[in-house]
Amino acid sequence: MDPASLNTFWFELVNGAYGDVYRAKALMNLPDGRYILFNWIVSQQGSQYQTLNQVAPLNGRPERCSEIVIQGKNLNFESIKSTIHNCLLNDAVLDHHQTSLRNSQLQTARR
Amino acid sequence: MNQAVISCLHANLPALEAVLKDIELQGITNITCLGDLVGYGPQPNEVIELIRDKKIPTCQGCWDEDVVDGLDACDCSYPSQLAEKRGHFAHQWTTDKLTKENKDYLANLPYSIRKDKCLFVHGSPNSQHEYLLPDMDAFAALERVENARAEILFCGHTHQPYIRELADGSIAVKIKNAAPKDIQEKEIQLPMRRIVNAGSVGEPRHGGTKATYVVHNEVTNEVKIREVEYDLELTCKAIIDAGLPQIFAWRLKNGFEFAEQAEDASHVCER
Repeated sequence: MDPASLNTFWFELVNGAYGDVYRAKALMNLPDGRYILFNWIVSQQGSQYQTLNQVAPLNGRPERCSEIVIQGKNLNFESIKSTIHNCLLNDAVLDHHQTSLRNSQLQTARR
Repeated sequence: MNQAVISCLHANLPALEAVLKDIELQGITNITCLGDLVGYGPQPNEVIELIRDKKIPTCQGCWDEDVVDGLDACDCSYPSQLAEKRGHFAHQWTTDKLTKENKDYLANLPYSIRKDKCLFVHGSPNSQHEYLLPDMDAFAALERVENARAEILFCGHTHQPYIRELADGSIAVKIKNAAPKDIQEKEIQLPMRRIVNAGSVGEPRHGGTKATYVVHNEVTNEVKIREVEYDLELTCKAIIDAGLPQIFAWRLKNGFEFAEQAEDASHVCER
């Protein structure tokens, strides 16, 4: 997932762009290997984000899935699906991103 | 005598009609438009035709250029892949909808319009794609106005209306001649320069949903930012009826731009 796109999607989701959401939870893979837990409850202020201690290697797609669970009414699933699809990085972009991160990690290790 | 400056209409006809009515109610007949007639909104042909019918002098905006020449902005235009995909969808939709006559009109718009001490551009005197944000470096801001040989630079593109005064500017010059110790120094005082951003008629980005534009009194030099309410529901319905993404209607209704745009004022577009 593209982090900036994911940020926009989550903001829209919990603010009612795709229907009335009461509760939303997600586990999302980021291109830098991080696995983030998103949590939002209508009765609480703001979203909670937690980076899990499970960093995936920077060599392509992780072997674990990104997941999302939404509770609400009048949810526009097609629109949610299409927006998530537009947040997904293709193989070439992911490779470019991870190559740059690997190079940066190598440079740091050499110092 | 007052003049009105409007910008970034983004194919939002109800917003444009409301702003033109507000201008008319103030008895202003001198109007200049800073471009971006189209893009994201549902009524590109109608908006262009209204501007043409009213014979409003207009600069070419980045969207007006892109729908004619094809997308050629650098990555600075979009801060995320999602925003880019939405922007590209809107670009294709607009390109398909526009009549040839209206595309020709957009293609022939000037990059800038000069009226006495005022220069009118879409983004900056350098490019339709460059953002002049209210908090950009003062030296860079002054350079844009000075190099354009203007006292007041009217721009749009950021969708955030503002008036910025650049006062007490000076340029210090020091020259060392061939003769030893023959140094000449000179300091040139610059008169106050101003950058006025007209905001956006069709895609407000100031935290509210009202359309914005500015009124400039050419005698007193006073500038006022005006906010105008319009039938937002009508535009949102037109977005959905036109087959544009529903998210555009939701974002507009909630005071968000259709797709977020990069806000790095220091970035110089390498397009």
